[in-house]
Amino acid sequence: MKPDDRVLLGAYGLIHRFGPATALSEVSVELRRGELTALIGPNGSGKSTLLKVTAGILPIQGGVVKLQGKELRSMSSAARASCVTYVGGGIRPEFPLRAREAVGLGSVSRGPSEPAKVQWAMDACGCWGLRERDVASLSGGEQQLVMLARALVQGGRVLLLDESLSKMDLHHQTRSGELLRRLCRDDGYAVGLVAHDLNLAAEWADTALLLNGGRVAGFGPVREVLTSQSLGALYPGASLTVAPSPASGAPKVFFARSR
Amino acid sequence: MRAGAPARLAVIGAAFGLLAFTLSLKLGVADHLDPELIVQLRLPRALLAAAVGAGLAVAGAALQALFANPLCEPYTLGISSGSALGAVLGGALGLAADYGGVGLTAFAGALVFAAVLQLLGSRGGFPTSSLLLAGVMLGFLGSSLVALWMALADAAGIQGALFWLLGDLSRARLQGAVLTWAAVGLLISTLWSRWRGLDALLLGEEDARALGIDVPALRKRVLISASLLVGFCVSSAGMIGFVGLVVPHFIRRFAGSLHSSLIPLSALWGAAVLMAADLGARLAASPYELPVGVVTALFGAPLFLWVLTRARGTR
Repeated sequence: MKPDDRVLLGAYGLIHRFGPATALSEVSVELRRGELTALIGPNGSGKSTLLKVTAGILPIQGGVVKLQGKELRSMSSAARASCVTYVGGGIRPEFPLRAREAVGLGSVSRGPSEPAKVQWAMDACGCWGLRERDVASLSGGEQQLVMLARALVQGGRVLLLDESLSKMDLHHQTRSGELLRRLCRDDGYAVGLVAHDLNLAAEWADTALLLNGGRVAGFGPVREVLTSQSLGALYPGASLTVAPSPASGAPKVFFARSR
Repeated sequence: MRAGAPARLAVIGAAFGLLAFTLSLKLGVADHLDPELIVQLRLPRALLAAAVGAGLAVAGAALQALFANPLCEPYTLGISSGSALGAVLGGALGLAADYGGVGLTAFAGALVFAAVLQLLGSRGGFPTSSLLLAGVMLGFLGSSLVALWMALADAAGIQGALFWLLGDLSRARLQGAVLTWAAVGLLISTLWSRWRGLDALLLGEEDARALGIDVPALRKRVLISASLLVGFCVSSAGMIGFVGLVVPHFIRRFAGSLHSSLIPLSALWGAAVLMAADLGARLAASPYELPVGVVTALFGAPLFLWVLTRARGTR
């Protein structure tokens, strides 16, 4: 096996600007099969922009994105959607839409809704009981479970999650984290997870990408990258200490108020 | 919504449509009309009402999904008033009041206003909400220019302009009605074939892109098809509001928002509703006729408010 075969998503030298503001300057990152990568950085550091460019939602202004070796630029929308799945932080539908209908939309670029797959995905995410509810009537965390189920139906092996677990309670967050780990281990997914909750990210991720001001500030195994120094540089206003969790050994962030 | 709701709504809609169609042929000022006159007058009128109602309702359903805004319809987006303005200008130029003359300028008016919207929308950074506001402003502009024409025109000119502003099906002729049916049917199927893209837009433009929909291409196709549809409807019956707004919302309340069933059900119910409204317009103040646009607004607005408050909790 060539070393490249494990890279499901590769972004090389990405540049992105919103008017005069630079969101990404020469960001390169590789998401590998079987790995969960946490994208960490302060507000406006380019995490969401990176996900949206690599998911084909924002246009590529500079640099190259490759999905399983193929250039994203040359792929049709439908072909891209079968490789990479993007989930945002929440939805606000203007029209009545049931949870199972929203989940069914995962396969919209392939064809009609696939009821068996919808049930399997909603079961896996623990939201089958919400299937007849209107999406607008669900709580933020419940909506995120529904969106995660939709991502499973879409089925792209690259799964990009933008704050997609942020509103879930600890029970659902844990279940979803375990689900993501299973997808990586058993089904060969490559997951990219943007999270402001550093303890959550550190618990579930193998790898971390630190972004600061649109530049890569660190990339590597979670236990090596998440240190008091690196995080202190990302969040200069916070007084924080990183220490291994007594429960799992994963790095945990402890912060203290300044006097 | 239960699994059988779309089917039930289809059966009720078909029965309602058939009833409205039959009564449209039977009832009128003269109780015993010559069969020849029924074919010449009432049949084309009922056929045209059905085609225009179906077209406006489907255009409304598609535009609401495209703009992710429940207030969108040909009327609120200004496309209808562009068409009315085109018609009045055609009349002012002395063109004949048929498909080759005023019908053509009405059609051009709809396309020009929709093209302005499309141009604004294709500029980067022009958000969808602003596009709706731009449409409302275009609508005001079109209606004001028609009103200006009315202020300057003689009695016959005012009468002609009122036809376009209030909607009127009395000019239906068999040939024109059949032509409208063919065009409207073709455009409705074009929009129906886009159901997957429209469904994906229910979750927002970003999610639709993530789900593999080419959103700019979809927007262009739907806007063009919907504008052509409105052009055909307005050029044959003037501006009729509320059908495009109320019918799709009514269907969504009971059968959900997925477009594979929303679009055909909107067509069916739009046709039935406008046939019934036109029947009401003919009979309510008999022997005088009310403008059908006034009837749809008088019934549509309160009915819509009622459905909105009643069905809110059940979905």
